[in-house]
Amino acid sequence: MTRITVPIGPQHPLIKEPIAIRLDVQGERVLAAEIGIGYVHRGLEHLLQRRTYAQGVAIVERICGICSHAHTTAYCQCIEALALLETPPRALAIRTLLCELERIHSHLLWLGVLAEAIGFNTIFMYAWREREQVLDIMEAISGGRIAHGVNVIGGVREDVTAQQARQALAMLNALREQMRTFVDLVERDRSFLRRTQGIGRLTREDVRAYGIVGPVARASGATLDIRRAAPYAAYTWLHVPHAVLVEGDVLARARVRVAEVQYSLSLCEQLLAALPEGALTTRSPRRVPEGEAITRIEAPRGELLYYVRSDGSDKPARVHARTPTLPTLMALRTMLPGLHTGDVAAVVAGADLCMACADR
Amino acid sequence: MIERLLRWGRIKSPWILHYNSGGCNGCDIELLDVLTPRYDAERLGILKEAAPRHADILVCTGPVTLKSRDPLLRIYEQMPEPRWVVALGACACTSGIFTGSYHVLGGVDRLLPVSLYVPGCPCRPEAIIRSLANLLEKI
Amino acid sequence: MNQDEIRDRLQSAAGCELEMRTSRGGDIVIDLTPERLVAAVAALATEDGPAHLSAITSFVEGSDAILLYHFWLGLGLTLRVRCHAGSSTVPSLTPSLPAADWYEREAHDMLGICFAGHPNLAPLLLSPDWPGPPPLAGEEQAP
Repeated sequence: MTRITVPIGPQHPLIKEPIAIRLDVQGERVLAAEIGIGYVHRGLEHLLQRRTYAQGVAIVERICGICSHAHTTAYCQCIEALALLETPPRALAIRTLLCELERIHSHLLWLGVLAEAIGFNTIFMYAWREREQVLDIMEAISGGRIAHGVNVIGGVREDVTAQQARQALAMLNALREQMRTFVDLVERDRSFLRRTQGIGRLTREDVRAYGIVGPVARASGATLDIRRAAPYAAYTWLHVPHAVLVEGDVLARARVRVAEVQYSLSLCEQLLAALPEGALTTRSPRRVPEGEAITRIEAPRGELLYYVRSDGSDKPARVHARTPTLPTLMALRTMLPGLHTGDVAAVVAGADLCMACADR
Repeated sequence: MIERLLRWGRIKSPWILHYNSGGCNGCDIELLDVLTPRYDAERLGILKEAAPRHADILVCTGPVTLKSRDPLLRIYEQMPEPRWVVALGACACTSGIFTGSYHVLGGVDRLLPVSLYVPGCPCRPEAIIRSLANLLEKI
Repeated sequence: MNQDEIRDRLQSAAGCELEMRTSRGGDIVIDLTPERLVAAVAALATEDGPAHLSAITSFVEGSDAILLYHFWLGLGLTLRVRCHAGSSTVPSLTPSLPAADWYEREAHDMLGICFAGHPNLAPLLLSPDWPGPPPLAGEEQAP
């Protein structure tokens, strides 16, 4: 049978962002895949060198709309380390609360996107409908559904009132009930299992070779979770449960993420019940002392690393962000070959790619 | 007579094609939100299409990056007339917060004729529905 | 792995004493010359596999380029490599550590550093018709 090249993208229905995937296909079997990125490259690292540190928070928030809070958390944390600031405990707790709410909304979003890619539109609608409640909580606290603007260098800009906390707890309780649908889906639903089980396997060796992080790595037996390995913000006093499987297929990734949503619901409840008293920010200098700092946090997709270098002025000399999607994208060249062409959608959508994060 | 019928058909079932030419995803997920149960744009007849050749309205999010320039033009050329372009979000309108970047050409109107600008960073689902309804009134 | 074990492994791979310091944020930083890089990274492997490479940061310092290889080994380790402008060629880690692939391509895009032995240094992020110069190499940019 002849080999043909199937070009997917940059405009395609698989994920909502531009990516170019060239598949070498023989019959219905994928033989090789080449990935092209850069369509969403906005030169942010260059732009950040021409803005003040404070302006940088708004820019960094817009690297990615889905994990915007993770980016600002890592950026602010990095500059706080550089400037040797003591961020108040209440601010750290509110930051952590939004990190976990963002993890819930990101995982539910992903579940809907995967379901839509394999034709299970009902789950797409259900997942995004339940996700709205999480966006409501974030909007009540910050005023924004997607871009929250909560983090500032030195702390947070918005407080969580007692009433907001009560409303949030009620919504999270309701969401916990609704999660049963998704638990049933990933544990028992036969059509979902048939489309995702045994597909797109990544071994533990692949994870180490490509440096894959996040739920994709934890579905293949790796245990790295920065919240546990190098606790930051309020994770220094929260207990973060483990969600690790070994099968390494799309189904395992789905199960890990559904488990993580349930753990995140508990973490949010713990935080809301025990927000420390105190200030929301500490004074941050306009000019940051000379030096460099590296910080790692656990974004919804995995280890997010920020490097900031200061030359003593009010603008950073260098900001570098390594987003967790990049290793997963590199590993697509391993995940796609050998697949039936009909399974490409499940693997690509199931990898939780974020091109905005990857391209910056 | 036929013209009126065609126009009625276009207003009652505007199919949108969504392309992210360089955005952060914020507007993209709010656009997708519009199709989900809480906002439900399908009651206006709006369906998200996968192929440019089936679409009436091109909804563009994000600024136009240098690498996205050619794909965006190709998508627009593939859409049969009559076609409309919506610039969704501050970046698609004017390149927003990314203005001045070496890899950003500008807003969508640097490349394509835009019929509707929807501001916001990201724009809210309510704004998207209202704006699309406004556009349908003009068709 | 702890600090002492890391230092021992790297020193025996490098064949010389290495100075360790701690950066703000907690990473241990060790300076290496480019030709010692590949052996040093290989020395950090365990029975679990190669060391976990988190990122490669690159920036310009004066007329030199600095490459920072960030690893997570149970603690944060950064290997700092200086390459002199004019001869900005560093051995590529990609043949032995696939994780380095796109990070090296990005450093090539942004600063123009060449990685000897990299299988495919094609532009990763920049448009194919980008006229140059590399955006973070410190020269004025074409809009």
